[in-house]
Amino acid sequence: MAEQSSHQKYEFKKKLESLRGKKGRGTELISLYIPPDKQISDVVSQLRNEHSQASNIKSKLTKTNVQGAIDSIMSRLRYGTVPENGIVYFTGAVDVGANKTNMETTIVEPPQPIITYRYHCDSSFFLSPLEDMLKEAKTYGLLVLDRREATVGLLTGKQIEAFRKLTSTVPGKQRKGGQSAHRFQQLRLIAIHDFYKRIGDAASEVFLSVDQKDFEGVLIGGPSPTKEEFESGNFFHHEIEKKVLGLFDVAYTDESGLPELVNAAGERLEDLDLMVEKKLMQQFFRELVSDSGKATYGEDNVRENLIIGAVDILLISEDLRAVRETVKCTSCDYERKTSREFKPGDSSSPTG
Amino acid sequence: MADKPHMNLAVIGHVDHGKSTFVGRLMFETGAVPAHLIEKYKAEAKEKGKESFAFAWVMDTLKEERERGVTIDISHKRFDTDKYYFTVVDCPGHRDFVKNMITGASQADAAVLVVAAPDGVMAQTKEHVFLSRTLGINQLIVAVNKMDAADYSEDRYNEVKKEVSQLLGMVGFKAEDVPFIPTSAFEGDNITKSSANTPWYTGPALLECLNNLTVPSKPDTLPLRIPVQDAYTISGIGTVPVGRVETGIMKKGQKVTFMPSGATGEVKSIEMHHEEWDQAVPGDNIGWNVRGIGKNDVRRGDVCGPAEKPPSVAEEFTGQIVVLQHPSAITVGYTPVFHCHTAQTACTLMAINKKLDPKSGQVKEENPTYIKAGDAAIVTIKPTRPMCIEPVSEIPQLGRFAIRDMGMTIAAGMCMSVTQKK
Ligand SMILES: Nc1nc2c(ncn2[C@@H]2O[C@H](COP(=O)(O)OP(=O)(O)OP(=O)(O)O)[C@@H](O)[C@H]2O)c(=O)[nH]1
Ligand SMILES: [Mg+2]
Repeated sequence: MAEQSSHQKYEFKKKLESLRGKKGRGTELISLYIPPDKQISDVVSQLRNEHSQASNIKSKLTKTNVQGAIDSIMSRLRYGTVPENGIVYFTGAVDVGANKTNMETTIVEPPQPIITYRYHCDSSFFLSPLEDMLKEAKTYGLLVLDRREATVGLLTGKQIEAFRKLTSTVPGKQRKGGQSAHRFQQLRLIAIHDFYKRIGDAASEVFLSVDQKDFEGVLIGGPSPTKEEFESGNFFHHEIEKKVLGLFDVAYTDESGLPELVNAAGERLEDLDLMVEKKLMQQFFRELVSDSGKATYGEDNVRENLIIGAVDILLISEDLRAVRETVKCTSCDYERKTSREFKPGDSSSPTG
Repeated sequence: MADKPHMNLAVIGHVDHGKSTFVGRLMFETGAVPAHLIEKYKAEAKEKGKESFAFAWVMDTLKEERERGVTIDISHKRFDTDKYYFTVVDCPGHRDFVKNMITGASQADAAVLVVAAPDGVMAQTKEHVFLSRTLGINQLIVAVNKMDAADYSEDRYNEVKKEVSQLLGMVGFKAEDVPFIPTSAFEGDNITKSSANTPWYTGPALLECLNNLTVPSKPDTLPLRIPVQDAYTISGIGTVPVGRVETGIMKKGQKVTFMPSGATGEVKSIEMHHEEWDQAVPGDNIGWNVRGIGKNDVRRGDVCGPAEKPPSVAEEFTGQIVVLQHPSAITVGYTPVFHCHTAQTACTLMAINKKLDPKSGQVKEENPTYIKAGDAAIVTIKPTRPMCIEPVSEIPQLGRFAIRDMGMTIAAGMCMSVTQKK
């Protein structure tokens, strides 16, 4: 399977977002998932079957719309061959407001192979198989610890999440009066051992809850000598024990320690989207503050540079949603272009 | 003990420059540690092949510290000069333990900066000096240590002195007012009296410099604030938080509240250096016990105050910051770690309101998109977890903070206003 470029991923995401916003009046939007090994003739015969069943639909309007949608797909299928990863059709009479509907078709070639054939008729499009493809599955276990506290988390795709936080009862340097130094030390060693055991159990539980085929390994961070001592003590579940990727010097052992650990382990994680993006952002910021003139930001500046072909790397926020509007006067030369930002799902959001 | 004024002294500096040895030596010379104990440490340390650490063992009491010859956590010890009694905090120098150093330094009135003569200014020398200044330490003494390992060379001493002076000037200390002393913690030079090994040095020995420190004013008319440095559970007694009184006075029987937890109770006992007291005043390093406070109601970074005027917990706050160093640009959304009194909390930059001229404080730009090293700015900050902080105009001791990221201190700041958490 070919790797998707970040641009392709972005376009794919945008397509899903726009499909998510489309609604039918009744149960009349059709989603059809065709896996790569499926015979087109089989699909067509199944659709014929659905078409005739649709004649039982009580609402006249819905019936017409469903049958119309099936007709539309069948006519398209006649020319098509199924691409490498299969193909998905989203067809139906989409509510466009003002009491009107519009028969629309969106065809998606998915980035990963479709596993199961699906025919789905509902008031909205059925997207979850495609949404699952967007999910990053590669997961790393994160653990930061010292004598005082420990935090267990997961790195999935670009997301770092803390799951468990533990604090110890290991005594610090303040010794209670009357206790012998030797006894104090014994008690302290026992407390440390207990704490490591608790950490090992909690971390193993979190790490084992991840689908093990996606679980890439465990990163351990913290100041010396705690993490070394923990690692050499077999406190993890034996399945997790095998997956320790490395120990890294990290100062913080609360939630702040998790991103610090990911940074410290940067070289191990080089291929991860998160690290690639981080590097790009760092490069951008560094150029920006260096006044080299090699970095710019803001729509107008970026557009200007794009027009003159001066852009080597273009970074666009995934959250950016804007439409470009051109205002033209029909009787004079007046023309103005502006961008307007919107929130997906708003009434002003452009669909289609 | 009450007849002598009390001072909190932090010993700071780069890893391995001899801080613990220095403190051990000081305790030994002032009689706080008996000679036979040092002899015992010498014998035990020799067994472990760490003979040179005998003095450091006075402060490095943890097994892992002794095995590795590195200070990990702070500890407090008492020693006396003829003028003051001191609570000394030996700070760790290793970069992984800067967070512990900050806790220690946040409780100090004055600091001794230890710089090893053979090495000169190193990474944590800079960071510790900057942090001390940020945390409100105004009095500093510089010990140019390990002079024995630099042939007691006057030239080397002067080189290091110059280097450190430059650093102090950059951070805002008046270097000409800061005493410099050539020392060997190992050999004991210039600790109690002038050493014959440094005939070229005519200034006072360390003890005299300590006596020359001035007691900081005690902000006892401000509301009571005690940041919790740690909390211990002691069987038969209950939860005992420890920390330094920053402002106000705490009396036995008083009703106090811990924030952010909101737990309230009556003060049962106040203890300092294993003695009971009826009240505690600013500067006192105490352990205190509060009726009805559970183990989960207090932790490091919480603040204790009067029940009728509890410490502020910030939903958001505005601060004025100065960016000391940063490899790139700081923008909205940035979430580094903030250190304020004993608290350590990740906070998100919500807005950069104004960029200021760091010299004049004049506004240079409204709502800038980013700031970088050397810039000063007014920013809006949102803690990711509940955090106690006060405007500097009201309680300066609880309004200063340092910002760390990527293993370094990147900025310092002070809180201008707080939007209280509901
Ligand atoms: N020659 C010489 N060695 C010294 C002197 N002071 C300390 N040392 C040695 O330097 C080493 C480190 O000393 P420490 O006192 O542990 O240093 P530190 O600054 O407390 O180190 P951290 O707490 O880990 O930052 C030990 O081997 C000491 O014996 C000195 O004045 N001269
Ligand atoms: Mg030390």
